[in-house]
Amino acid sequence: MGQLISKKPRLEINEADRAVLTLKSQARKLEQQRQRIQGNVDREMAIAASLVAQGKKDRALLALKRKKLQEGQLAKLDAYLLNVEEMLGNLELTKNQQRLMAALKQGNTAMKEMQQAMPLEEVEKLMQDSADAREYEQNLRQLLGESLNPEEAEAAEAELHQLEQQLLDEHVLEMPRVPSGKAAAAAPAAKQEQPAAAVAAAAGVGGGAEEGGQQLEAPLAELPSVPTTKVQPPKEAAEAAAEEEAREPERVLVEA
Amino acid sequence: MEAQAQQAEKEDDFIYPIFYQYPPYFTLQPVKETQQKQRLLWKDLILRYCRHHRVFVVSAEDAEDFPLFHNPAINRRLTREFKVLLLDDLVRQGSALWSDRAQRAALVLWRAIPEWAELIYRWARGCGFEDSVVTVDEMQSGMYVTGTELEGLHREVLVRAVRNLEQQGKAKLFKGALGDDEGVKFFTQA
Repeated sequence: MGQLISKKPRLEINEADRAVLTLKSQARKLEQQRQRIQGNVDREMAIAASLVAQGKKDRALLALKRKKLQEGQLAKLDAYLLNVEEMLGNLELTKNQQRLMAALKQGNTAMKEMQQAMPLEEVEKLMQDSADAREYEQNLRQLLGESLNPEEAEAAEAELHQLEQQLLDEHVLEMPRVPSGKAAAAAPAAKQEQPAAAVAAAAGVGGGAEEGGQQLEAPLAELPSVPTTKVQPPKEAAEAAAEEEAREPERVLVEA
Repeated sequence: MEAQAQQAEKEDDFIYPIFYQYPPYFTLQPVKETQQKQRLLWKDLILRYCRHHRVFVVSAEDAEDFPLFHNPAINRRLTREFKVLLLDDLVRQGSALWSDRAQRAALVLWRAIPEWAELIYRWARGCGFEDSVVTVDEMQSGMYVTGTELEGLHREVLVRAVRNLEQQGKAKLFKGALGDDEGVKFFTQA
């Protein structure tokens, strides 16, 4: 919180940081020492070799003993270094654990706070409120629906009837004209259908030809009501259709 | 020996400007305009040279004989006065700092301090050092900086860059107990 308020974040150095620094410093010093001793070991070795060459065995032995001593120290130093490094690793790990713990704790508190923000009673109340609201709305709608009094409703109904009647009357008036109009329309339609069917047949499109045949059926059905003047064209059309149907299986075979 | 060989190799791939082969450029020119041009050329050369060889300290002393200021091929070298003048030019434009009052040597900042700071912070983040302590030694020569731009960074430059990060609230330089090294703690950015 304090960090949020103060503009400059506080750069705190805690004990753990100092401990890490001390350990790292020690590690560096140990490393330096190790290098120095390693140098000594190499030097003693060289001295021993040259002494042996000169035939000074005693002094060579002494040099080798010193070398052994140094090597022992080297081993100890290595152990120390390992120790320091282990400690550093542990510190880092513990710090991470601490941070993880804090994060988990924070998450937990946040969850609790959020849960507290919506106690059960309030949720219950909320549900009740919304139920109440629904009920209220239903009542309102009912009231509004009934706000038309019976007479007005009846008047509206009467108006509806009147409109329907009017529509029906108009229909009836048009009735007589219907047959002649339809016959006139049917004849040219039949004539027109014929070339269309022929074209379709010539094109050899199976679906199209079949459609043409179907379209021809309608005028044929109406034929009885029309005076028997022109039978020829439909007949031809029918024949064409029949021919078409006869050819149909063939085509299917070819297609297959 | 090996270091010397490497140095020689590096010497080879540094391209010297043409003026470096002309003796007059090693003498301070009396005409003001010519001199200005001359100083500008030298200033850029110093920065380029230091960046190329990762040199931080440029000495003005005659005894030190900084390689750049001496061209044996034409047997010419800069005088101490000329060197001080050039380094002073760099100091004035913020690309260098005098190491001492006597102006014996200058710290050449071929990367500005904020740039170094940015580089250090990016490196620390990359290594996961946020909220961790790193010693100054580790930042100069530790195993984490090997092969990075930070390797061999001059201590003074490093400390100044960390101070820059301190102002930004990203790091803090601190000392531990007596005899400890200096350490830097990096912070996650708020």
